[in-house]
Amino acid sequence: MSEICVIGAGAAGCVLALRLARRGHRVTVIESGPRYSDEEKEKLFLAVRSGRLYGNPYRLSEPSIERYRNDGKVELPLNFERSRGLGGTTLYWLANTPRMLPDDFRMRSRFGLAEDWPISYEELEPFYAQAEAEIGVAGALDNPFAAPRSTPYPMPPIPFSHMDKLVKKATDRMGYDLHHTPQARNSIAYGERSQCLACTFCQVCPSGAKATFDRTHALAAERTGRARFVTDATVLRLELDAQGRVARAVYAGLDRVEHAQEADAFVIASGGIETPRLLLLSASAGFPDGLANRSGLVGRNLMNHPVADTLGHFDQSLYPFRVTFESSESFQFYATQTRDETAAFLWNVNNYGGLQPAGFAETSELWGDALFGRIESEFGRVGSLSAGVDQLPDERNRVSLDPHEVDYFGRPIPLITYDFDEYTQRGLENARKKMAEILTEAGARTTEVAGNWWPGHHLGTVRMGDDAARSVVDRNLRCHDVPNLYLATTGVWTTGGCANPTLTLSALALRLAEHLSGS
Amino acid sequence: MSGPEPAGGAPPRGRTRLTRRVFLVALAGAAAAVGLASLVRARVHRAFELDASSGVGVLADPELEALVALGEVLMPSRLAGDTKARETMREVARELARDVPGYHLEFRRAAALLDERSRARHGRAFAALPLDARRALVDELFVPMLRAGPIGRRLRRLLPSGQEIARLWRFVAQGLLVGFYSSALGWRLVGYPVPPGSCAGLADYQGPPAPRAGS
Repeated sequence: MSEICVIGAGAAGCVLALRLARRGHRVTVIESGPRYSDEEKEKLFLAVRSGRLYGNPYRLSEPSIERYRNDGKVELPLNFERSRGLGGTTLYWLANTPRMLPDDFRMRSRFGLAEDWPISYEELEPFYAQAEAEIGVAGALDNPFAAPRSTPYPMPPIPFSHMDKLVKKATDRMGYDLHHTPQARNSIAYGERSQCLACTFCQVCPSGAKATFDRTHALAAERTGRARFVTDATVLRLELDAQGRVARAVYAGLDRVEHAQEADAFVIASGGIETPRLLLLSASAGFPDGLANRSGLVGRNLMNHPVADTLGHFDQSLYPFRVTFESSESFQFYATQTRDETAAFLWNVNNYGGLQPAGFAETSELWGDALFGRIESEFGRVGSLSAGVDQLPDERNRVSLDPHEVDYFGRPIPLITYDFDEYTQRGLENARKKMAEILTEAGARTTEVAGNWWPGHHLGTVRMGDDAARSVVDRNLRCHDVPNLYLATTGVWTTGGCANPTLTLSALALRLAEHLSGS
Repeated sequence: MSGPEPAGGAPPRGRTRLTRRVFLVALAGAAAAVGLASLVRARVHRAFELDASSGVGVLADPELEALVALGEVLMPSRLAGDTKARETMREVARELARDVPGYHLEFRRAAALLDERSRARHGRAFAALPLDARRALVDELFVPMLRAGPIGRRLRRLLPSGQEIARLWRFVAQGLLVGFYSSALGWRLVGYPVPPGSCAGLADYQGPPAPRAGS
């Protein structure tokens, strides 16, 4: 069995470590963030619950390590959801785990757009099933548009919320389907973790019911005795041997002392931004434009799932803010036959909306009975729907190396150039229109368009394909240009689809682990 | 989709917040309008923030009582004299002073200001005034400032007394109100027997909040 070095202990890195260790390989995973103890997570929960800590709490003590810059028309807020640490962004994620649709893998042949993936949904399906079992996915077979499955969901669904039920009555009348969101959150005790306790602040889940891959995978990998995780260690570059194979990963901690990890095979599993960045930082005489970049496509074709939010103002309370997770969603406008004309979208009901009581206090200039009167008459009466929209690859959207700014280690930070085109814009407009109709049917007096935002779905930057001139990795995620280098990241997406990417990434990582094991 | 927050690192779950950045952007516009941009920017940039370097601390009892007396004016009148409400406000003040750098100093200054105004008018400490007198004093402090309009308000802040009152409103009154309405009691007032973050279980959120014993 071989020695394998994985760079990044996020979803893909943790899945790989467990499966490879179980197959008998020795695995070293190098992660630039820390290992969060249960006590540290509890402290974060209490800080978030008290309102004293906003946003993503999983941030590095040395901020320049995760610094970036935008120079495109649209600013991508990378660290809004991205997290470093054992478990990566699964520490913070909301844990939605829909599968992609078969059509997502064949956009060229079905709709004449972009390119097909080199693999099909059918090839990936067994790995989807394994990933759902390993992670622990709760779901229901109530989505008429869902891709075919070989297994039931491991757990029954997380139940609909009060708001979901209100919207579902409306969608039933309109002939639209609203169904349970598949999610990596325990609806019953599963995998040595408790049932969800609905603690509201899922980004710092205190019960462990949300799957974070430090718990679901890394611990089990370590228990095999064949996997080890080196945390607080940032890989600076990959170095090649005389045969053009990666010989070692050079990494350093905050003391800036360099160490080298040698292995038979290397997997970069560092997300859709840092993976291409590390390749670009590893330029050498043989690869002057960046390692594995003879196609010139490393960093290009950056995609996201731009999200449109629409609000509805109701006369009655919708009782929001009791949970943050999303308990319902709809593939109605995702599994469409008109994707050649306009971008598809996956929409969901939010279990929050409008201001919390404290928000009225914070933003109004009232106190006493005047303030309370306003809270009483307005709180809880805003419903919110969101839609994540498909985006096609465009080489102008890219990650490159910033010519001006460097990080803690003196390496250029990522420079993001991003925009979206008319195709996606039409999808966003369509989504807003449909969501306004649904909210109106549900009883909203008025509706309101809220701004767009961009989730941490960084896709396409090291795309997968059979043609070495048009892609960075092959169907087995091996770099076309470097025989012992693999990439396990959302960057390998050939086209974006609409589904939240972590489950698909986990399935791809399992498939890669089996490939590396020769099975 | 996956994001529980709107873009740009804004606060979670639809809650908006007056950030320093938003405040400074608004300020820059107003300052330019009166031709005092550089002076105002420099002055307010320095002055209108919590002084985190002052650290945290434990409030003395008289200071705490002054803040609770202010809090009682800020909360709905139906809670006047309510022991639980006063205790909630006391806990909010105590925690902010103890846990968030800058609040201890801000609260001490606030208690001193309230007492100074109260003694000048009534010859007694603010906490010793009857509720109606406290309400009248708070109205005198805040209403002219809040009615002054955006530019007038910023101009007032150029004066030391204007700064004091603006800080009393922004950091002390609003700080207490935000803490109060984030508390279990604050959520109970809007019909939630348990506040978000209580781990109420999967049955809880599926319908309207169910009344609970003792709530």
